[in-house]
Amino acid sequence: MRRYVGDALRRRADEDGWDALRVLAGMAGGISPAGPSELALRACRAAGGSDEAAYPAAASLHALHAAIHLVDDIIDGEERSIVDLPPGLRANLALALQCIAVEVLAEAPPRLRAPLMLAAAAAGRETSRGQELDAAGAANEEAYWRIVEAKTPPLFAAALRMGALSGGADAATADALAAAGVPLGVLVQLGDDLGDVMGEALHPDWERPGDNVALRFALEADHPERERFHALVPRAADPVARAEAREILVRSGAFSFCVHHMRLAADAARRAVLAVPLADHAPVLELVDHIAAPVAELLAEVGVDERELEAALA
Amino acid sequence: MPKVTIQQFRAALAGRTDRGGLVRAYRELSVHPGLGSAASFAAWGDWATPPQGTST
Repeated sequence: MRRYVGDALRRRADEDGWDALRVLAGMAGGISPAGPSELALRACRAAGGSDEAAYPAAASLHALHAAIHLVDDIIDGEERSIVDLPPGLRANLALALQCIAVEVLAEAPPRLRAPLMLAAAAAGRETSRGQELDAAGAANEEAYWRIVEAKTPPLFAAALRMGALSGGADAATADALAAAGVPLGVLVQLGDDLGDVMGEALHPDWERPGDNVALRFALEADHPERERFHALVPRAADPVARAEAREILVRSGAFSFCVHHMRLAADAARRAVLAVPLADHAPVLELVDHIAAPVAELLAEVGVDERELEAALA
Repeated sequence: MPKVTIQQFRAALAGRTDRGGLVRAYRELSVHPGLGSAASFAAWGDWATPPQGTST
């Protein structure tokens, strides 16, 4: 799959003599095992299709994901991105990638081209809308969840839909599987939120704390160190202040809050997958488990068996 | 499904309400500061990395 995806981009980079596109083609070998291309591959297998049947969809999703990534970095004001270009040219490259995401689907069987192209185009449009909502910022907790559901799930839903269609599923089955993309996207986004603030590096989220649910929790929840946290956030550029703030994220329960919602999202994704009549649910469920693995590992670290939690929730 | 809000979750964690094993688990997480930094969440949103070895 990775070779096919890389070649699809490389052919176009060679045709146009486009170095930046060639860089992205070279990165296809390192496609995330939890990303939308892999998800489409697994959805195709789940529907009973061969891996090869999913390749055009995987290439499309890879190009789309790259475009979204480039634009997200520009919006976040990140100076470094996946290619070394100024922001305007990264936006230009993203535009080309969105076009490539449609072009590569011409290699799908004729009856699948239109539905796959529509799915890719809709995912790009919906994600762009989510990005704009995200850029405007979340005024409150409810708005935060609305933005999360608008921003990340469309790409995951499209991956499941495109993979299922490629594997031979009918439209209704593909739509039903796509529904699992909503909790899956939320799971990934919450993981991003935590990763962005629990890592040692300074991330732009510290400058927009209302848009990161862990930071929002520590700023809003009624806990003994709330005032101290308010004082630390504006000083987040200082590694010492940031380290202290990270400890408060854990002690206040912000970290646990994210873990809780990630568990719920993973469970919802599993249930949504299992509700769909598929040849084999395992390929998609394995990926859900892979993405949720850090949550299970954390709970195991504190001596908790997730199965006990299920009983408590029931 | 309605989501547990920040205030509801904090109240449960602080012991003003109790839901058994679930809350105990989250309380445990909140007293182990090392766990948060050790968790590898940053990899979840990764797009792709430069290839290591051969691709498939």
